Amino acid sequence: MKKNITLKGISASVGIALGPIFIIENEKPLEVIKQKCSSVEVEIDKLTSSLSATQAKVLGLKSAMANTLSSEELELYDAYLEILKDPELKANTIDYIKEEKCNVDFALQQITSVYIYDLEALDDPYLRARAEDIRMLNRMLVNIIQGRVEPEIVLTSPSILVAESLSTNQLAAINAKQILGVVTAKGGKTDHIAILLKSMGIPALVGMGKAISTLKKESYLIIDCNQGMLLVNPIQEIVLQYELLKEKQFLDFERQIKFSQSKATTLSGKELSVCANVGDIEDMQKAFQFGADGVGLFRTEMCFLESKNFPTEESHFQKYTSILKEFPKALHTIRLLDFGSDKPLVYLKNKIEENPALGSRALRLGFEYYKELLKPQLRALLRLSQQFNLQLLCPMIADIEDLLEIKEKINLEFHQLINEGFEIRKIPSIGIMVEIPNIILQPQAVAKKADFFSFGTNDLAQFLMAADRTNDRVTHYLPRAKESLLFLIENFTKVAHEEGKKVSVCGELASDEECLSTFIRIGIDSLSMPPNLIPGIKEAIRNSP
Amino acid sequence: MIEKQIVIKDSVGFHARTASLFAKKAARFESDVAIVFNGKKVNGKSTLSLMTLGVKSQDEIAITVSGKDESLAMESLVTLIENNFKD
Repeated sequence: MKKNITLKGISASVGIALGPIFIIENEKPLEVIKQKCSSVEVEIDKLTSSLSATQAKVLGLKSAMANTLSSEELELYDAYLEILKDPELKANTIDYIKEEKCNVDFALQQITSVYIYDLEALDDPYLRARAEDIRMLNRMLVNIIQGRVEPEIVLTSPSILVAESLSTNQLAAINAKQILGVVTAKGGKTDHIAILLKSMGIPALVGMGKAISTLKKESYLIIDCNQGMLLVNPIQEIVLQYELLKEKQFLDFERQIKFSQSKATTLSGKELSVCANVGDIEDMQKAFQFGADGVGLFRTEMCFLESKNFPTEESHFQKYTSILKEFPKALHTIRLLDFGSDKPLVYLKNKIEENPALGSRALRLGFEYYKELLKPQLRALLRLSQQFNLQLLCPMIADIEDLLEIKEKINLEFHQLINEGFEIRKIPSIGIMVEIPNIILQPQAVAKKADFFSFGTNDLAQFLMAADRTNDRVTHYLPRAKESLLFLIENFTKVAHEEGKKVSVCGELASDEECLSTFIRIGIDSLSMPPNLIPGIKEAIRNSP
Repeated sequence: MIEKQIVIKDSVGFHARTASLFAKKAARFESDVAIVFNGKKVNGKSTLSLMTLGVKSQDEIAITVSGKDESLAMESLVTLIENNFKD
């Protein structure tokens, strides 16, 4: 009898997969032996032709991946091409051949191993990971020189792949339709391969460790990404349960996505936009895929959490461009940097505050470090507003004075850019993130001054209940703010609508189905939430009276 | 021969992409281009060598250029860095 066991792994993707196992053997090590060559010229010719043949191969891989990867990920292939064209790689290999009068594959292996050694010694994890790329390129070159063909991975029937590790090259060579799921011993969530599998919608578990060596050829597997579990040879009853669960999840989501591409209207004909909260390129791709009516909250600080310094105007510009172009036609509500509080800046670490949630954060920090923090962002966004449909959302506005200050700053940067010769038609709409209670105590005054409003219910709840969101001992107060939040939203929306201004809700409350009927009744203009919740909420709106 | 110290302001430093852009530009000139960082000197026309320097954002490097078109080459490489590797 087959043993049934359950193993833990890291979910690198979503969904459930059931199927037979297919074990991918580790790549065999290269056999490169030093030999005397009869003609140095012949070896050099072999080098030249293997370099150009490998370039052609990389170009082929790049175009095979063109529809699957973002342009940023594709740039890695351009870097591979530059490495293959590297004058020093070629010159050093030729020198080595001439000096040692040896075979080209040995020379090449010697030269690339120096670069690999240097890269692996660096403390930058990104560059260290590139050593693996050089190894892969070396392998491709040596294979061509030796006329060696890598064993092809041929799946004859749909299977779950199990491997020590899987390279993007290997994956590209397998017919994706036959891959039900992927399980690897090595790797983490942020690896290139993990990102790829997720975007292809293939359930995957990574970082399983040595446990996978116990898996046998004839096993039957279930990948459960919801729980990060691998079930090996489960009993028939469990298989049946998972088959039903998979079927249900698939049907629910299929149905919801199908209808998600159009706007959601209630049974009585009221329209409500459902927008996406976005923080990176994957969110933006999902926003588009899952039928968001726009982007209701682009959390710009999420793009720079890892930065070791103030992001420059160019890095703002480039980063946003790469993300916005995944959903080019949408109206994007861009929230200005919301650093501080639970997202502190490492390069400002000396400034420890007693109450960071009530401290210098978001726009306050932006005013304090205007030249370094806010100015480059405003300039980049104004420039981008020519190309994309943007509106600017200002976080942590306490009163009209804050609003006037940021409006003045934006106006100033706009004119400065015009003077520098940039063509920008007009200043984008400027809205307030409603999160400090003071700003809505006198709705009439503020409703006139801003172009639109977005309720950030998470922070607003924290301030209403005087309960720190990051302090576990008091977070139970936060859900109790719900009624007050709905009261404030209703009260404010009436006034804003009288002024012809739009109101949206973008905190956790937005995706709370219990609140949906209230939002519909008071005529909220849009809700904004994580992209994967959009199809479900749109369905709920369509079923509402 | 001319030499210039410059700070890399791009958010990542010399990574695969930025190193290849620099090497590509340097290769357009006849002059020899070298980069010195942390006491190590490498060929500025080699993507691989630039990557092995491990230059990070805000690090200062020295560029030396020597040859017939050295001043033009220096100017165009400095501009590339100052524009954060955008042409």
